[in-house]
Amino acid sequence: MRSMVPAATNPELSAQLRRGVLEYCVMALLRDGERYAFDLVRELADMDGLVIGEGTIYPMLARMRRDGTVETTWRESPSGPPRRYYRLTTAGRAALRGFVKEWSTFRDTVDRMVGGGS
Amino acid sequence: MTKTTVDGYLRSLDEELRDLPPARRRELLEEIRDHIDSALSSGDGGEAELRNVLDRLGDPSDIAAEARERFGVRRAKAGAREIFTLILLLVGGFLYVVGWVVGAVLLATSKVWTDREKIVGLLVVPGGLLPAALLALLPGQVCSETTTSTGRVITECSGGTIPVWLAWVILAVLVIGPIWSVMFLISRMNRRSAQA
Repeated sequence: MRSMVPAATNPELSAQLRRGVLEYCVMALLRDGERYAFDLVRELADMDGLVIGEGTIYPMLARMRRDGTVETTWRESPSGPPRRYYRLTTAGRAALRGFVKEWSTFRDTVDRMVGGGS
Repeated sequence: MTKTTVDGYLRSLDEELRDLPPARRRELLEEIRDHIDSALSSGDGGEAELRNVLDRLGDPSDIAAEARERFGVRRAKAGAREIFTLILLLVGGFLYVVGWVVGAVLLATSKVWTDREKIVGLLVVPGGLLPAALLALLPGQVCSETTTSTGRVITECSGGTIPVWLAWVILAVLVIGPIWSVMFLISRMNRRSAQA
């Protein structure tokens, strides 16, 4: 945190911030059930400021799969070839719970310090 | 046209992902290919649409950079290891052949060269300069002269299983081959380092 430039005008800072939270956003999207990989990526990409290139989400998903927070299954598609679906594992669910708790404390603290809270 | 654009994108991604373990590389390529297929299946399949899909995916080098970072893999750069590899390939054979074998293993596991370049390095010439040296050391035709008691001179020759001219041609190939292939690997290595 060397500079005091607002995040919106500092792509490097916003990339750093995004990096830490993006996988938890994936877990949150999967909380209510499995999702088709393509839909998952599109949904993340459509959220403002969260993702720059859709392609960069796939390495993160691969890493999450290796870490065991998500897993994939193939499902028949009504049109075309089988599709890969992502779903949250028990470990992923626990990691998300931990993050949610941590995040609210973290957010409140940072808000207080930088004066972003109401 | 559409097909070649997708193929070009995937090929360039595959090349960029070279530093990753093969399984990761395959997996990522497959997922990106599925993504493109899915994105195109809903639309009109036109060239403009395809370009939009690829734009949204982003630059292959960005995807590869993200993958390297997520998996803690560093981009391969030509360094002491590669120099050592090339020296071993060239003259390692003289270290009881083991040197060349080590060089071959280093080459095969290097991330700096493509698979095709590695095959050239391994096949031209196995053992590096060793086969050339062995050929040069082979005894040529040896003739001995003996004088019999009657004063006659008998000349006996042995060895020399191949004609001398053919031996020279083979020797030239065995010398030039390994030197050429090492120079080839150096030029490919430098090209790649310049891109990085």
